[in-house]
Amino acid sequence: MRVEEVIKAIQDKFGLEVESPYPRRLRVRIPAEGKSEEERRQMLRDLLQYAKEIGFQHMSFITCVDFIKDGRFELNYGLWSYTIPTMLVVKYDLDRENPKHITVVDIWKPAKTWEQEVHEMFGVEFDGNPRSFEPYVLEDWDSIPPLRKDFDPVQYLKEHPMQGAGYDPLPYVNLVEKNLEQPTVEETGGDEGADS
Amino acid sequence: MPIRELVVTYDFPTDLHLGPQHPGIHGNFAYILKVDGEKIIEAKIVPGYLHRAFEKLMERRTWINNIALIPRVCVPEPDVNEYAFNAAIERIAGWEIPPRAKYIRTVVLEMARISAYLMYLASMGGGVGVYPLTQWAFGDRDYILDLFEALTGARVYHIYMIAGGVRRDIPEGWLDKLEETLKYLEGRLKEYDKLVMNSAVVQRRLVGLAPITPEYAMEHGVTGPNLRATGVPYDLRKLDPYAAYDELDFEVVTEKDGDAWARFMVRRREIDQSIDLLRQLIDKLRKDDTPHIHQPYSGLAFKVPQGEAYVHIESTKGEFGYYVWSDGGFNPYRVFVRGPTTSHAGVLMEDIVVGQELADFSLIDGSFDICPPDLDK
Repeated sequence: MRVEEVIKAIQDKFGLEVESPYPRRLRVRIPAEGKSEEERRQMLRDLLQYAKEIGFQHMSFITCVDFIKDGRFELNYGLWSYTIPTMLVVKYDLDRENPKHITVVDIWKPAKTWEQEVHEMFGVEFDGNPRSFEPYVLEDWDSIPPLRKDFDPVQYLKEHPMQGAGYDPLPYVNLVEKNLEQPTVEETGGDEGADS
Repeated sequence: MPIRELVVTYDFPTDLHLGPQHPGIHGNFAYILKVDGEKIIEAKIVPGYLHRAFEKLMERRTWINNIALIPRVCVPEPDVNEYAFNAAIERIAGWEIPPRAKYIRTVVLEMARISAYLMYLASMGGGVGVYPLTQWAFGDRDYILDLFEALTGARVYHIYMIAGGVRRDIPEGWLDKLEETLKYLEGRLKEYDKLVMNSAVVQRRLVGLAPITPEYAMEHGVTGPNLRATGVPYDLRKLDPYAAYDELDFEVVTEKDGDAWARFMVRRREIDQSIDLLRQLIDKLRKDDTPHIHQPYSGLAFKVPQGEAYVHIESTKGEFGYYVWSDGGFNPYRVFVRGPTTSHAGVLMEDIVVGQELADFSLIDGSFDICPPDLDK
């Protein structure tokens, strides 16, 4: 199958727009409007299943982005085909207030650990993947999921002083924080970057 | 006290915690194994000993500050991070880099491959008990690190590539030194082969150990040399060419058996391939006189236009990728690091070791080149 055929097949079968922003990259988004949550989930699963059948054999990743201003999480399913060869990224928007979703671990085995990671870092619940509710790389985590945009690591450190480090890290953290402030126009020599 | 009372008896099956302090586990990583005598009946990973919150830290630093941070994601082969992150920036911003920068980046990536593969041979030497291989490989890796030091100023974390090219051009006489080192390495690799091929221990322990088929490998998210050891010629340098790989002439290395010996041999033969590629690059660099960097921005803080891009490259562990989102500001909005070990350890290892002997566990772990830093991130 060639890239053009993939684009056409997904458009014909699911009625979705497939964009190709760069060579060997395809993006498709499950629309957020006009469908119930159940229908959208089923569409995602059907699309992933169909992609696997037409040659996207390798699940590269599942990851999430927190668009806090829009009130949504964006899940990204990255599928790679060795034969076409192209990467297809399927995007799925979730409500940020109620991030409940279903697993795809029965279609793609690697989803087991990727969903576990997304659950721990963003708090998205994947119904049907028992592993996703177990701790992954964090131990005894007692705050909001850390990769959400409203999690403040410096505040967390102030509330949870480090035990057994042999020194107090706060003065150092405060110093780093000062350096992390956005540079002003004077500091960058009037250069506003490539887009100016 | 009679000796009988000192003997501890176990009720099998029992849980066995292997790592992170165990010498047979590579890196800060642990497994909980359920064993029945010597046989493994279940395995589960315990990650998190190396979690450094890179993805969160990257959101809080400027684009250029991040370049000093990201090499730490993968310890044995840090340059793949530098390349993938910078290539993602260039892709979002639409910046073209000059040919010389492409060649130099490819040289760095190929040198990193040799150095990481030598580390792999060293760890396998330790696993099978052929210790001269361990010592030789670590010793010879140092010659590559010397070259890195002369080129970039650092031995392990180079912080050499930046958006638009590389930080500085190749020093005078460095290409001759590289040629000498490659010649030396070729001679040494013949001695490695004698040591390994003539050793009955290596053959007996690796041939037929934990074989996988191409279908099984793709089902479990296996990439890189582990996939090529099953006989399929899938290499991202060929399928999705980046840097200067589309200008180089090379054949994808494969082995057909899919066992630990095949995985070992793919990596051993890819060192030869890297040496050949480096020689082609030396010729290209000698003829090329374009600049080593094209910097369409100035100052230490710059903005990247709004957009997103995923760049993945062929590392010695498998597919290594960076997915970068920019909201048009001084910092990345979100960076996702796709490491090969998330699938190799979490999906493949938990499945493949079931039914294997406990004594082979460390070798299986080593043969798949499990590298925890990119899982923990």
